[in-house]
Amino acid sequence: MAAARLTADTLIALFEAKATVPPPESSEILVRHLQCKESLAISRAVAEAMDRYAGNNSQLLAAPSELLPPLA
Amino acid sequence: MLNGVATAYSHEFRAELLYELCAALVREGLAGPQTWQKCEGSSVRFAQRAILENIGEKQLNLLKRNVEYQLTVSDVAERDGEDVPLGKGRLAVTIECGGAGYLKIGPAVAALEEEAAGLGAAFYWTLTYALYRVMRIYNHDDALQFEERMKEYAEEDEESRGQYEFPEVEKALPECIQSTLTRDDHHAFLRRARRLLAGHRQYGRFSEWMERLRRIERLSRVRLPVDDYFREEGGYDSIPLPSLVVAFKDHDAIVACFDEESQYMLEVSAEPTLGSIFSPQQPEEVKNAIRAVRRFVALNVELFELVEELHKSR
Repeated sequence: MAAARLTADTLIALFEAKATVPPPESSEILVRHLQCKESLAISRAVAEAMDRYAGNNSQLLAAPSELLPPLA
Repeated sequence: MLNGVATAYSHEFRAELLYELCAALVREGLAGPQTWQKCEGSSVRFAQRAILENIGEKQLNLLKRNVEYQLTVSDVAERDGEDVPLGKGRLAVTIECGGAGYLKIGPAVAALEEEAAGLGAAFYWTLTYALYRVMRIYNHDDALQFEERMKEYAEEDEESRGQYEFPEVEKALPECIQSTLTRDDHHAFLRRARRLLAGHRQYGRFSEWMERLRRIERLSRVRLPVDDYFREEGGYDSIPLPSLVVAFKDHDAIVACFDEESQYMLEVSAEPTLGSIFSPQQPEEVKNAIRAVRRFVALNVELFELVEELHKSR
């Protein structure tokens, strides 16, 4: 909206219109994840693992052997 | 290689409340089209800018130099350590203090006593009572209570009673404050103090301090209550953190007590210094919230301008 045509009333109308628009689907998916305890727990675990290994001379994360089969 | 990888993302959750807040800010005249033009379509930036522009750059810088306040507008409020949605389309504006300001009032009290006997004490007590009405401060009284608690612990601690060191707060106070710690007639003392201050407001070296003190007193009489939601349902461990430490000298007994006590202050959850709940769709509630924040800012601006003036005069 051009500055010259924008008045306080039209600005209020603009915000009121925005308030009635449903959130985008991507937001809704993210919000569902943010409200899910399991999602939050796993993201916290990943973030903690990154903190532990970040800045550690590019040392590779140790693969958990019990989950990965040994290479032939 | 990293082209196309998102470096930031945002999401909306109850975003309608943000837009309703923005509309309310425009309705109340806190911001308008000019502000919106500077915000590149960001409603969050618009709300932030509206609030900051209304506080004013000079006032913001004054507060930033002296104290750590954090103003938040949110759709959640703390309840027993958890953020809980307020619901019913409501928002909360809160101001929390993360670092207290510091006033070394001893030199000013001494200069005023030199001008007229009792004037320093009158100034100190009038300022103290005015601030008690609107904010938590840490002063001689908190230090005296801390010392008393230490003495009680020492009495109970038979094994190492002799190892306790007490700050001796009363001895560290100026004579004019010591002699007025206990008063037979509190109201008569305040009346005399008011007359004494009024007599030095019109003329003399200290008229500016007196005038500023009068403005602080007036503003403190306008109540800035914390919304009952925070007090009764917030489940906070303690009252708000102090906004100001009032000592008489650097490193005196009051500062020593505060240093000791403040180590534990951040370990518990504290009520916000100011908290007001409103619905952005209810103009009366919006007006009340704006009024509360305006008065809080006005009082703190007067207070910290006085603090800087008193420190300059050392």
